Amino acid sequence: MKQGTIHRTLCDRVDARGEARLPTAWVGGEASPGACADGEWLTRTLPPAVPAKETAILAFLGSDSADAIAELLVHAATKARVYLLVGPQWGTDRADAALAQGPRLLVRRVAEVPASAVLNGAEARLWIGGDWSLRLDPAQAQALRQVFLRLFWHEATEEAWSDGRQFAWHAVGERPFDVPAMPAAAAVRWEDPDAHLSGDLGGALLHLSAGLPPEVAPRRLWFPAGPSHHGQLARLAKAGVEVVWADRGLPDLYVSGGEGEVLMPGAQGRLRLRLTPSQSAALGQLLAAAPVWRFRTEARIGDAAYRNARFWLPEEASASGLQAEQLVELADMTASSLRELPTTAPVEVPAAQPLALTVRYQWTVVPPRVPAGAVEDVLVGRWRKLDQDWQARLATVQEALGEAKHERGRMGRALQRLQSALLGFERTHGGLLQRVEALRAQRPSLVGPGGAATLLSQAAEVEDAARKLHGEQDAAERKAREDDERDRQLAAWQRRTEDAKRELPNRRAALKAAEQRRDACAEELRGVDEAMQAADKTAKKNAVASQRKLADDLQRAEKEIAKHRNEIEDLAQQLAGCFEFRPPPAPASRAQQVKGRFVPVASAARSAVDVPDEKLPEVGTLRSHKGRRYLVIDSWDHLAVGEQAAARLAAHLVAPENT
Amino acid sequence: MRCELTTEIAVTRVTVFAELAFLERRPELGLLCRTARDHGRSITTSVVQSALPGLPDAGATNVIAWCKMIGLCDARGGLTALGEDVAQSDEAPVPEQGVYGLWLAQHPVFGRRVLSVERLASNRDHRFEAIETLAMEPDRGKVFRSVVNAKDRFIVRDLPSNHGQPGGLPVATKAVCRFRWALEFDQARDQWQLDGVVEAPNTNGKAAMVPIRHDPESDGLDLWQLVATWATGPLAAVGRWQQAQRRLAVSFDGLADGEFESFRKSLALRKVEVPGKGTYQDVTLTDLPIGPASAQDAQRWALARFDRHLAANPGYRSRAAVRAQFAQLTEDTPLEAFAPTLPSHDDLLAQACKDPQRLWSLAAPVDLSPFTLAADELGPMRIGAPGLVAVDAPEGAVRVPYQAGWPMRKLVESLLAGHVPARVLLCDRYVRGEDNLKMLQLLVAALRAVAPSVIVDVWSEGDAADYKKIRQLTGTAPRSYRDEFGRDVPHDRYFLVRHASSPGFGWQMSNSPLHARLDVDDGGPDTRLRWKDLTATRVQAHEIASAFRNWLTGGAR
Repeated sequence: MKQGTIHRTLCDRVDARGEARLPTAWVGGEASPGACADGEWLTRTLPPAVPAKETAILAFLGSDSADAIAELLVHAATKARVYLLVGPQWGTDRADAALAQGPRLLVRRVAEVPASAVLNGAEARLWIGGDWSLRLDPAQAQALRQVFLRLFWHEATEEAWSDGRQFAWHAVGERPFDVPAMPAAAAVRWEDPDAHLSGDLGGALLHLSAGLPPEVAPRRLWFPAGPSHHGQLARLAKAGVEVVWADRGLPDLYVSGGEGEVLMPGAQGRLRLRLTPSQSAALGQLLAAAPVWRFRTEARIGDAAYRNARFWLPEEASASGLQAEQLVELADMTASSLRELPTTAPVEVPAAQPLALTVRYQWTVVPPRVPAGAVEDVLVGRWRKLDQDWQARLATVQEALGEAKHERGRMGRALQRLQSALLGFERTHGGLLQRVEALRAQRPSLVGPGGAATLLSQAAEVEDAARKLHGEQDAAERKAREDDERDRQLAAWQRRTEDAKRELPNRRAALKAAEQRRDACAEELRGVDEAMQAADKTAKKNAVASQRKLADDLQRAEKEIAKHRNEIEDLAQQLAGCFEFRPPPAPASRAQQVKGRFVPVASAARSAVDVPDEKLPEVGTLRSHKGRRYLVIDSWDHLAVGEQAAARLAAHLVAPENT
Repeated sequence: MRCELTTEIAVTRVTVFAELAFLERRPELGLLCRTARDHGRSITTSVVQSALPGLPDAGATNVIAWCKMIGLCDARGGLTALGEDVAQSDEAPVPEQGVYGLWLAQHPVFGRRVLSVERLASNRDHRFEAIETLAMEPDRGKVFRSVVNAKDRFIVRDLPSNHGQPGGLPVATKAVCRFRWALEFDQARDQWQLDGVVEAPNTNGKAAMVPIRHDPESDGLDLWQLVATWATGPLAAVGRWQQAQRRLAVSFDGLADGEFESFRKSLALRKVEVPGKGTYQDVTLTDLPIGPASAQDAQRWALARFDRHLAANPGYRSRAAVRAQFAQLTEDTPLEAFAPTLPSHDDLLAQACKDPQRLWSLAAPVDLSPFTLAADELGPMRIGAPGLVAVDAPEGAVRVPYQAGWPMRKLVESLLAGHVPARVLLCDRYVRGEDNLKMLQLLVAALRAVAPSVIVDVWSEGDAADYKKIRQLTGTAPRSYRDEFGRDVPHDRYFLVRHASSPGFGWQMSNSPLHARLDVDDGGPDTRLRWKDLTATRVQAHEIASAFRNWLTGGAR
């Protein structure tokens, strides 16, 4: 069984195809293209151009014009006037710039130039393609000149002449005369774009550069190797036609007996050249040379002769060689279960490509995976909440015990009489703390529904014990504080009694003195009153003033007497009284004094704890999607345990989503 | 040619005692003069009695004496010019004497003329010492027309004076008078006229100026004789006057473009004299006919015109077109008499070596000609020189050399090549204009001289009027280029021949046979013609446009 992380699995199968056959195919690479030496009429290597004797040189510049331009440059250096027919795009490259330096050069643009050619009087040469140039006889040269004139005067759209540096283009003006059309029998004719070779092609050496294969059967057919027309070519091959190809850049042409024809390609028109016997012979040698491609039917690809060949099959964009092994990559497959993953394989496989000697099919098996969007199962959440509540309760108890310890320190410093009682509390506190630590090391989710209930019961016991310890500490502190207050109040009463004994005589003497002053003032006041009745006006004024002063002194003496009497009464009362203890006001409850201070919860809260009735899986994660449970594992090591847990929880055992 | 002679005329204003006669409406005298005009141009007793029936002889004698007195007839009763005037206008002079204000002007062309007159009241102002001898006495007996009021005509009959010395009181004047004499040499017409301003008469001392109104008059001067006079004077420095050709032979040097194109020149002459008619300053002689003074000038002149034409009308030209153009620019011009020469093709190219456009416009049509050009066609061509009698025509071509003098019949016989055609077609863009239509008539006549029943078709461009004339000449309705060719019209002319016995054929021609010209007013198929170059090249049906092929095969009409 597999071990380690769960991954996709790459699988393969190999089939041999050496006996397979190709219905039709171009087979290339069997031979190198045949060489053909330069001749009198057909050449690839031009002799050095001789400066023109004529005053007017006529030239066509087609797409393959390097040789023609080289020859023109020789003529342009003389005083000859050079007339050029060029295509619409001519006038931009370096070769064009070289020609622009010729002072006597008149260029006209036509829609298309069929081929490159240079006419130097009766001397004329036509480049038929593939660097091959054909020397024309006088009749052909004359006919080609007529074609030039027709295109130059009737078909050109723009013209330019050189100022020695560049060409300035402008529209052509009105022609000065009409150029007669070419007769049908002319050796060179400008014809419609749909023109075809017009001779008897049966038994000929036929070279076609494009278009359709011929209806008749030539002796040898050169036809562009490619993906098209395999049906018609197969029919010709079965009729005995040697169907071959080598891309020499030649146009449509045929050679049969002493005659032949060249038809230059063109989208706007085609140039037809009727070959002389000499030219036909030269081109016949070219068409008889060894080809590069041969058209075959029913070729067995395992044949040793084809080991290095290239094949161009129908509808293929390019030719290809044989392929030692084709790798066919099949679509990924998903195993129905994790356990069946190694044995999952495709029922059907596609066909191999025709040129493959062997084929290797390769596919990837994907394990069953938890669907995207699956979420954590509810059971996991319930256990997590229970664990979190568990931890919170124990943390609360632990915090309360810490606070009790702090209180004990404070009590010990404030109340010396509690020292012995505090030692007993210390021992109880230590035992509770050990139990809390032991409970916090456990989690209900790990012990399942049964073990969780036991743990919760133990937690409740610890909470009760902690609460009791706290109550006892508070009671001891309260009693010690009342005793201290009693002692303080008694000392204060004794001190006040002593002070009263010592002060009372002083107060009585002061009272007596005050009463004497009051009596004296009252007597003197009466004397003034009597004197005032007999006094004259002036004496009366003085008597009134004395009367007022004595009244004020009398009133002041009365107040002083009242004050001394009250003090004497208070002192006597102090001396006559007994000691009475006034207990201090009860301190506020601890719950009010310290926010969040531990208060043991009622037992009703404990009964509301929700304990799931299923245990969590032992491996993997439990997720759910659309009402279905998935147990996700990522290791083959968990396969067996996972399968059991999945069965217990009614879940599918799967790999992670990104596997 | 024309010029205008101008000069300022001094106006003299004078107050004189004079005898004038104002022309007034007198129908009876007009009748009398007309009667006399119809009866021997003499006023006799019988004439008077004829005009005035019942008048006795004595009365008639008195009438005649009165007519003599007022100048209608001379002493013998002969009708005078004034009498002729009265017969024409019914206005006769009525003599009167008095004091008049006169405005006088004098010039050799019109003599001593009273421009205006006003009647003045006589008074005794005792200014006898201010009276002076008249510096200019007006002509007596002439009818003057006032330049202020054209209806006033008058005659100065006499200036009564002591001792025969007329005198008058000079009066200052602000009058301005100019004399303008327009000489139209080509029309042999001269007209002179006065203009300016003059005081209005009877304005009570207020010098109100009014324009001079004067109807043009002619002096009847012999203008070409006048030019001959000037030829020895101011024109001699410019050139040599050729009286027979009525043009000034000048050197080509210094001619402006417009002058050598128009053969006319304008000259500013500082001073000219019209014998007996005065001298005039700063005269501009415009459109003076000019011509070359020498053959060398003519050659340069011809080449300059040719060069200018090529520059103004750039484009490709066949050698035939070049030759025809040169001939057109020189023939019937003062250059023709000097027989200028068109340079050879190679010489023209050499001259154009620094002008690429000119070079190619001339070289390409020759280098790229579809037909072989004859050597002499590329050589120089002398205008007016008789053409070669025999030329080397290329094979399959008919060539009519310049000035060969071929009659139209010879061309037709050459083109028919021994066939008797049933139908021929002339395709020529320009079958219009009097000369071309005359040649078409000649061509038709020549064709029918060979084949009396031949049908002549014409394809051309033109309007309905042109087509109507062509049909009158050929008997068949011409067809338009647009109908036959659409937009792809041929450049050259074509002459196609169709006959019953063999396939038809055609000729592509470098020029039109209608460009030949007659030197006589009335000619026939055998009359020698003046030709420009024409080369006709025989073409077969497959070589020509499809419209031609259709015609040859009977597809058209």
